[in-house]
Formats: sequence, structure tokens, C-alpha cells
Amino acid sequence: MLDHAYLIPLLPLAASVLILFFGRWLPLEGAFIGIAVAAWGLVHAGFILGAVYLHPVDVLVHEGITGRYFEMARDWFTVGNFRMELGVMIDGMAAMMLVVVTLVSFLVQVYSLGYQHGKPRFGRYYAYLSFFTAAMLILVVSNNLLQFFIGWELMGVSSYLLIGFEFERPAAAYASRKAFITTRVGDLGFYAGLLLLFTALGTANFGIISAEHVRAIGPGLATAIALLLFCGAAGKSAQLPLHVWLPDAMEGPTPVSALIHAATMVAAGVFLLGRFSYIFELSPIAQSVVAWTGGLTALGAALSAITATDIKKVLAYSTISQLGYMVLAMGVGDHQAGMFHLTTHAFFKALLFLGAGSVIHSVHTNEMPLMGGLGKKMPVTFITMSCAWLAIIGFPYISSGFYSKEAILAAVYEKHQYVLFAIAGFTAFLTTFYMTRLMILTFIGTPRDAHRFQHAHESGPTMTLPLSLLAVLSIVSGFLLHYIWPFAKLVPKAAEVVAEASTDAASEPGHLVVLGVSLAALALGLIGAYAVYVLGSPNPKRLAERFPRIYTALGTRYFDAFYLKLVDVLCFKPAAFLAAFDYEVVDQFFVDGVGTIGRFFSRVKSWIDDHIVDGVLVNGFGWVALKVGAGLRSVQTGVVQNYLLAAALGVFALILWAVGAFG
Amino acid sequence: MLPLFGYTLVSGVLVSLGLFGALARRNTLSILIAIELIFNAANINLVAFNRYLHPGQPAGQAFAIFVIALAAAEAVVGLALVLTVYRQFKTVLSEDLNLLKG
Amino acid sequence: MIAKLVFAFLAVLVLVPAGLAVTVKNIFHSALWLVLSLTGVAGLFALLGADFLFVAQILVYTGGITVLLLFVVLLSGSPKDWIVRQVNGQWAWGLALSAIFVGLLATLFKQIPEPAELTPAAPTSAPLGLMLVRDMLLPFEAVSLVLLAALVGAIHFSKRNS
Repeated sequence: MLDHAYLIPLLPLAASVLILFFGRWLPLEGAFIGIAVAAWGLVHAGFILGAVYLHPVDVLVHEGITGRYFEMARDWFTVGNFRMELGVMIDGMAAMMLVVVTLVSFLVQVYSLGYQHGKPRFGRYYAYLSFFTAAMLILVVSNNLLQFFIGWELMGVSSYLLIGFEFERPAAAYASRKAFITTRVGDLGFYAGLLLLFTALGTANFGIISAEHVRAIGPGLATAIALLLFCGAAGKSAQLPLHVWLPDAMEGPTPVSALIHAATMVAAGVFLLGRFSYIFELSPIAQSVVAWTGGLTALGAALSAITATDIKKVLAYSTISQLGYMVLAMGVGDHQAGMFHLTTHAFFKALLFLGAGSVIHSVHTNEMPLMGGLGKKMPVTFITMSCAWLAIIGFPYISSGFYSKEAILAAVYEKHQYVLFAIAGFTAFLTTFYMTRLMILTFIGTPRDAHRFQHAHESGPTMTLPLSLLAVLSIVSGFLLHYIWPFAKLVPKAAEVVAEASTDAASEPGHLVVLGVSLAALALGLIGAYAVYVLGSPNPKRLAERFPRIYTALGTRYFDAFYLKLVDVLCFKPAAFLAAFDYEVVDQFFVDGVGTIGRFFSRVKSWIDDHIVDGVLVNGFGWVALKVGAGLRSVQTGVVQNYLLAAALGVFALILWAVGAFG
Repeated sequence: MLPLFGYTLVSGVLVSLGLFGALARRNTLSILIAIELIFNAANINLVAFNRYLHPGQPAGQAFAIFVIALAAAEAVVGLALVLTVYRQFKTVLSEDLNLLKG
Repeated sequence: MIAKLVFAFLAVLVLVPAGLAVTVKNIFHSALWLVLSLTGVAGLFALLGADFLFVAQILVYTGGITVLLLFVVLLSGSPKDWIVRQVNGQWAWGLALSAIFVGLLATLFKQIPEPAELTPAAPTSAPLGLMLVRDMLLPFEAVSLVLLAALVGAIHFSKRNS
């Protein structure tokens, strides 16, 4: 089973190539290849997950720092003492991620059959989706640093291609560039951290890294590596301050948002923190940085979500906020909680996006002020999205989000990070508030745009079936993964966390505090949203007028303005200066100078040509010849006596010579 | 006895005078006159050498006879030429006879 | 003694008119001075004992050539041409060359050794005649050819074109 795990990333890659090149001759432009491959991957991943759950010791033969794992690799090339290999490493975390990625990818591809129907470049869209799936899977199963990075970067490329899929719209093209460049900034730090790690550990292979090896890294170096690696995670997972690209990324098609910017790619940063958790454990400073970044990000994004009117923007901010939760969990050392929330979030966030997509497809707008009362017209969408809503607000016991969010709050509380705990609790209140607001504004109440409401209709089965499946998962996955197939078996907690805390959910008094806080946040959020948006008091519009500064602060993108200013100063201003320099000095002075010099030399040369070559050499010779001729001709006077004189002189000379006067 | 040098000196001066005349006179007839002087200088030399250095044989004098005859022939031809030139160009001045100029 | 005086007189008779002949402006006078100079040369011949040459000189030169010369002088140009400047542009060269020539010749002639004594002069006509027709027959006849050629040439030249 695991022996063929390497096919899971490879087949989608092959599928994308096939669709790209041969799609035009295939039915549906080759979309079915992508779907089939995703389905096969899902089945296979499911079997692997099952094997890992049930027979971990048999299947995962190696023992490593983060737990048991399976490995299979082949060498690609060797440079010096660096061995580049391509391989597969399956442990609990990876097995879960395989299922998540393939499942969401499969569902999104099925959904896209309906959503992207009739839109241009249908086949290429599927090729890109398969390509992304392959990239994410390469990262998830990678067994060495460089392959991890390759997968990371390929995901960046896919994100660029997919966000900017409708590149005819300048907003989309801009957003895709912004996403790529922002994550690239993070990737720089990430790559530096990778190189440092490789240098420190002497190997790129995850498995070879033993506990002693890791201890050998001093705290200073570990902090440096950890912080650098976190740069990459912050970029990919849209944490402060590199979160600015995610709201813009909503320019991409909604299924893309569901797959990449909700469930999977943005989760890669969290996955990274899990993979390298042993480094972070060596550096309390780095862990603090990570935790606080996560907490503040969660809070800030939630605040931005309350005033957003674009349904996808609300969900984008929500994603940033929930990722903040995951990062917070990783930061306090409980990567089990983080990964758990990642899993549940994947399901309900994907569901939220696909549901939003269904609504958008139906009313042809993203703006919630133009919606309202759609619950009656789109019941399936409404019900499934409600399941996701329950999950995200963490409705007690019956939603998956409850279990994962509780785990995070508990972890923070048990680490005695009370400030962060307060932040997290407040953010939970905000989450409930804005998500309820979204549901109310979209599905409940009187429609605000009659024309759109009239044309609204439920979506077809290709879209509703994935929604339904995800709704089920949103509800049951938490319960399942907590009690039936405990997540703890997949991702064991780190030793220290285990030592400090208890694994029993309800018995400790600490946990009652956590439960109390989360329930309070939930209740307050529900009441608040109901009050404002159903009862109408306080009226949101009047609130906005009374506190205009706060309102605009929530909506304004300060970070964007700051980054633009930064880029302007660092990049555009020097570029303008260099351009001016190039023009004034280089062009004017040197080039034109060279031109002037050239012209000067040309004039000199022409003068030379006229006066010296022509004048002296050509005309001169003629003149000389004429003058010499004239001179010599003057001898020929025609007067005989002159000749006689000459002859007499000659005779005279001869006589002198004859008598020996010349010796 | 008179020295030979006297005769040869006279001859030398005479030939120089004749040379001067041939070089410095404008009229072609004057040139012819000067040439006659040169002939005569040569004759004086011939006869003097004959008398002083080679007495007994009249070779020098015979030579002088020939010189006289040839001088006469030359004078005749030269004068005829001058006449023809005068008829053609209406001048006897040698500097005007410069058709070969250039 | 007398010989020296006679020689001096004859030398003067030769050289002074010669100098005048090449100097005076009037060409007619120049020709006349020539006659005088030639007569002096004849005298020198006589002094040297060349009796036949003395006579031949008088007959041919002074009697024939100078007369011809005078004829042509009178035939070419009017008397008013006789009084223009007769010395041309290169007279300085000529003068210098002549002067140097004289010096040179004097130097050269000075080196000729004088004989010890002179044999007495004898009549030369007979030996001269004999030499001409015996030893120098060819040149003699050649000269007569030359004279013939000169004659023919002169006649041809002086014919008027008709």
C-alpha cells in the first residue's frame, strides 16, 4: 500500500500534463482525467490512513523524532557530500494531510464541472488544479528538505496561475502577482532557514535526523533557523505582516479559493511548523514569536471581517483568522491541536467557500448588501453552509470545529499564556459575530435586490453534492477524530506538553474554564449578531456614522499602503533615480558625448580628408608636379644662348676635370 | 726669341673674348662675329705650336688651313640662316627666337 | 727687341678690336672691328713664319667672310636696330665664365715648356701644298665637299619662297 504512495503525487502531475497537451481532443477538455486521478488518490490515501491508524507499528517501520514513519526514496543526483533524493515519508501527519488534500481536491474538481461550465480555458483550469494537487502532495510526502522546498515553490506557482486565471481582469492579474511576490518574501527567509538547517544537521533527509543530532544545535542557531522557517510559514499561511495577499487572492475563481486559499495551500505553513516542530521546541523565543504572531493575526483578521461586504472577503479574513489559531497552537507547542484544527478547518472552510460560490453563481454578485433571504431560494446551499457555520463558530459537541478550537484554547490556557488566551477568546466572539452576520445577511431576512433574488436558483448536483459531503464532514469529523479514531494517534503530542497537561478533555478544572470561555464567546457572538442584523439595533449604519474612524480603520488596508510605500521607497525611487541617471549621465553625457566626439572626429577626419589627403597627397602631388615641371621647364628658354652658356659651363667643368682639378 | 706663352696667351684672351661675345650678345650676327674670333684664336694656337714645338712639318698650318675653310663654310651657312630667320621672324635678336620655349 | 715690339703691336691689334667687336652697340662697327682684328691675326701668322697662312687669312677672312657678314648685316634690320642695347641678360655669366676661362687657360699654357731655340722660318707654301695633296688628301677632298654642301645650303636658304 505505502509502497505505491509515491504515485499519489505523481499521478496528478501526469494528469495536469495530459490535460494541458491533449485536453482539446478529449471530452470535457480532459477534466475527467483530473477528477479520476483525484478520486484514485483519495481512495489510496484513505487506505493509507486506515493502515496508519490500525497498524502503525507494522506499517510505519522507522522510529523518528516526530514519531513513527515510513520512508521510500531514490537518489536523484549527488553533489559533493550532498545527496539529492526524491522520496516519500509517511507518518501520521502526512497520512492525514494526504486524505485532506485529495478529498478537497476531488470535491473541488467535481464542483468546478458546474461552476466553471462555459467559462474560457476550462481544460487548462483543470490542468492547473491537478498541478496544484501534485505540488501539495509532493510537499506533504517529501522526505527531505529540498523536495519540501520544491513542493512549496510549485504551490506558489500554482497559486499564481490560479489566482490570475481570469487574467483579462487587471485586478486578478495584480492579485496573482501580489500573492506570488508576498509569499516570495517569506520564501527568502524560509530558504535561508533551510540552508542553515542543512548546514547545522549535515543532512537534508528528515528521517536521518536523530534526537541527539537536534540537541546538538545550540539555542541561538535554533532560534535563527526557527524564525527563518517561520518567515516562510507566515508568507504561505498569511500571517501578520505577510497576510496582505489573501484578501486579494479572492479574485480567483471561487473553487480555487476553496481549494487553495482555505483548505490546503495556506495550511502548508502550519504543516511546516509541524514538520519542524523539533526545531521550534529548542527555542522558546521563536515559539513566543510564533504564538503571538498567530494570536494577533487571528484578532486583526477577525476585526477586518466584521465590516467587509464582499462575501469572499469575509471568508478570506476568516481564513487568516483561523490560520492564526493554528499558528497560535503551534506556537504554544501543541502541534497536535494545530493539525487537528487544520483538518477540521479544511472541511468547513472549503464548504463555506464552495457554498459562497454557489450563492455567487446564483445571484452573480459577491456583495452581501445585494443579497438577503436566499435561504428560501437555495435550501441545500443554506443547510450545508449552516453546517459549516456551526463548525466555525464552534458549536458545542455537535460540530467539528468545537473540538479542534477547544483543543487550541486549552493548549494556550495550559501553557499559562493568559493574554493570548484572552485574545483567542475575544477572537472567538468576533468569529461568531461575523460568521453569523454573513449567514444573516446572505440567507435570512428580506432580499435587498429584488431582481437578483428573482433569478436566484439552487445550483446543480455537481455543486450541491460536494457541498453535502463536506457538510457531513463538518459535523462529524470532530467527533470522529476525537473519540472514534483519535487524532492523537496520528499526531502525538510533544513530550513536554504531555507532561504538563492531561489528555482527558472534561475532568480538569482548567478545561472547564476553557469551555466556559468558549461558550460565553459563542453566546455573546450570537446575541450580538442577532441584535444588530436581525433586530436592527444598534443599527450598523448609524454605528458606522458615529464611529467613522473605527469603521474605516477596520476596512482600510493599512498594511497594503505601508507595503506600497516601502516598495516605492526601496524600489521605485531608486529605479527612477537610476533611470534619470541613465538618461542624463549615461545617455546624454556618455552616449551623446560619444556621439559628439564621433561627430568631432568625423569632422576632423573629413578635414583631413579634404585638406591633407586631397590637398596634400592628391592635389599636392599634382601641384608639386606642376611646379617642378614649370620650374624645370624654365630651363627650356628657347634661347640658344642660354643653352650655349650651359654647354660652356659643362665644357668648363670637363676641362677642369681633365686637368685633375677635382682630384 | 719670343716666348710661346705670348702667343698662347693672346690666343687664350681672344678665345675668351669670343666666348663672351657668343654668350652675351643679343644680335645673332654678333654671335657669328664672336665665333669667328674663336676660330682665329684656335688658328693662332695651332700655328704657334707648330712653329715652336713641332718645327719642320707643316701639319699645324695645314690644320689651320682646314679651319679657315671650314670657318668660311660655317659663316656662309650661318649667314644664310640669319637671313632666312630675319625674313621669317623679322628679327635677328636671339632672345626673340624662342619657339622652343617651354 | 724689334720682334717683341712688333709682337706687342700685333697683339694689341688683335685683342683690342676683338674686345671692341664684342662690346660696341653698333653691329656695323662691330663687323668693322672684326676686320681689324682678323688683320692683326694675319700679322701674327706672318710673325710666326706662316707665310701662306698670312696670305690665306687676308684673302679668305678679311676679304671674304667679313664682306659676307657686312652684306647680311645690311640686309637684316634697319640701322635703327643697330643702336639698341646689344648685351643680353646673361652677360654677367658670360663675363664671369670668360674671365675664369682666361685664368684657366693662362695657367694651363704656362705649364707648356718653352723650347730652347727656334729654327729659322722657311717658306711654307710648297711643303704645305705637298702635305695637303699627299698626306692629307682625304681631308682635303672632304673639306671641298663641305664647302660644296655649304654653298648649296646657303643658296637654298637664301632663296626667297616663290
